[in-house]
Amino acid sequence: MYSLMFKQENAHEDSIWSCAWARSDQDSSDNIITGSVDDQVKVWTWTGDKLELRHELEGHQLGVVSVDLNASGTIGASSSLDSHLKLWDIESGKLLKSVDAGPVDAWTICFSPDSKYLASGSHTGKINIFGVESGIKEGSLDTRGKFTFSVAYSPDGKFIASGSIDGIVNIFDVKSGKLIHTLEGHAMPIRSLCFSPDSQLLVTASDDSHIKIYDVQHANLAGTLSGHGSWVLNVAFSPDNCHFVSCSSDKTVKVWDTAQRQCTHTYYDHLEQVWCAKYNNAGTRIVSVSDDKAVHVYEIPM
Amino acid sequence: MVSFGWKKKIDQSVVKRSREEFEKDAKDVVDEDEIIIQNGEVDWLSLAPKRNCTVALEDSLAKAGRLKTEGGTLAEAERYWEALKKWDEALALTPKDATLYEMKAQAYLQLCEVFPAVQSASKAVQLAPTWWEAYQTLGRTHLGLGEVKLALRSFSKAFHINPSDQELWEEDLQWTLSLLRRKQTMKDQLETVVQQSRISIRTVEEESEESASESTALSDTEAESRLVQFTSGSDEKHEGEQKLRRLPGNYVQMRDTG
Repeated sequence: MYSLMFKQENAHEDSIWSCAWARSDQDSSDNIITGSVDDQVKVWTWTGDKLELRHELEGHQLGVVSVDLNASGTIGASSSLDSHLKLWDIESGKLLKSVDAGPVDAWTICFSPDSKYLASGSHTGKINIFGVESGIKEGSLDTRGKFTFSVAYSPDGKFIASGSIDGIVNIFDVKSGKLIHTLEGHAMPIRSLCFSPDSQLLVTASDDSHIKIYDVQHANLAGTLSGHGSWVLNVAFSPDNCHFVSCSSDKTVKVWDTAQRQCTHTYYDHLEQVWCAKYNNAGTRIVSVSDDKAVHVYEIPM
Repeated sequence: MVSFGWKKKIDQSVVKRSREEFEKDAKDVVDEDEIIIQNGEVDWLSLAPKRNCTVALEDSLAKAGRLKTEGGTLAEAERYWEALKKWDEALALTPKDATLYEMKAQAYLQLCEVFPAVQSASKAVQLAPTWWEAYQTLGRTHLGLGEVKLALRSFSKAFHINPSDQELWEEDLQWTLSLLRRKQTMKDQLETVVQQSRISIRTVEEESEESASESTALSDTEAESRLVQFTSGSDEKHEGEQKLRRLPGNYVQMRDTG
């Protein structure tokens, strides 16, 4: 059954921009991390039927643009408009590292699959790679383009993809650090992109309200999906490799089937634009966050 | 229903009678007209009934667009109230046009009508949540209201939607942030001043205690002479002495030397 399982209203004081969901290897708790324009990062534990607030992580001086959890679910990362990256210990809620990335040089962040690195897009179009242990910039990939809105690591750790404000997608080879593909599919900003769990497909979400699917190996366009009535703000793949979720400024969250290239379900539960939606580790739940300050957890049939 | 019907009846009949007479007159007039018409001596257009309505030369969208640009030119000439009137007329035709609300907010801001400015700007944001300029205007109206934190939030939202705008980053967001920081430093300064004043009070107290201990350490003769001095005075002086003890040591010394 597709249904809204739980609604946490007023989860933050203001619009929530970002979320991530991962099971912790340490204490096997199901944790959701959310970042909001109210400068706060919150960690919630999903108990199976409701959300419990675990930590309120304070320290950012401006809105939190992006959050992520590492693969083992033990470390949380957040980036803010104050251009700081912060790493948090999920169990204790303590600040592990704080990195000043330079003015407007921390936007979307994502952990590498081995959780050793943190990639972040920047104003100059470069993708900066920070060491999780060292807390310093250890490398950068130059797209020679404009503002990099979104970054994604492929789950096999081979590629990094980035989407820019002018709609161009770049795919880098991580080992050599070379740009291997440039895709010009959208004409408007790409706010989110993600790889499929088998690293074969890349899905991009753009302000032109379309979602595109690319074949990573050959850089072919595999399909264009329409259905959202406004900007597509985020996409995230399901661990089952067959579905992905998208959310949009039209206040909806959509679940898509990658094989059939069709929307299988639409949730109309949010009252404002939905900034982020993510799957849990098992692929049985979706969490979404919105301008309406609410965190929703949805049930999806397997 | 039975009531005083006779009055009514008379009235009705009077009206009826007079009406009939008038109708007879009217018939005569019409007859004259018909004669004229039959003779073909009349301009047909003048006989057409004059309807009291204006013909719409444009559809509502076009009219709203025209009013919007008219308002714009008026606003450029700094005739904001007239511009607002035009935009209100346009809004009556296209109530979901966020740009109109945003322009209204800017005009209100120019007129220092802060509260309606905030209202218009938030309406614009509500109608167009993906339009960053609406958030920018909302932030500026918040600043006009003195709500620096709310302004910072609005500018953050605008920047989150469009991070490539340098002006927004430098002139709005950073400036608001500097305002907040300045307020914080002033707060800090005030606190340090308050703390310093507290410290000075403490030191005085310590000094007075020290002086008190010093005074006890004074030679017995001097202490006795003081006692004599104090005891020789009247009761009022005793009270004065109690007051004096609370005063700083140097003050007492001054009195002594005097």
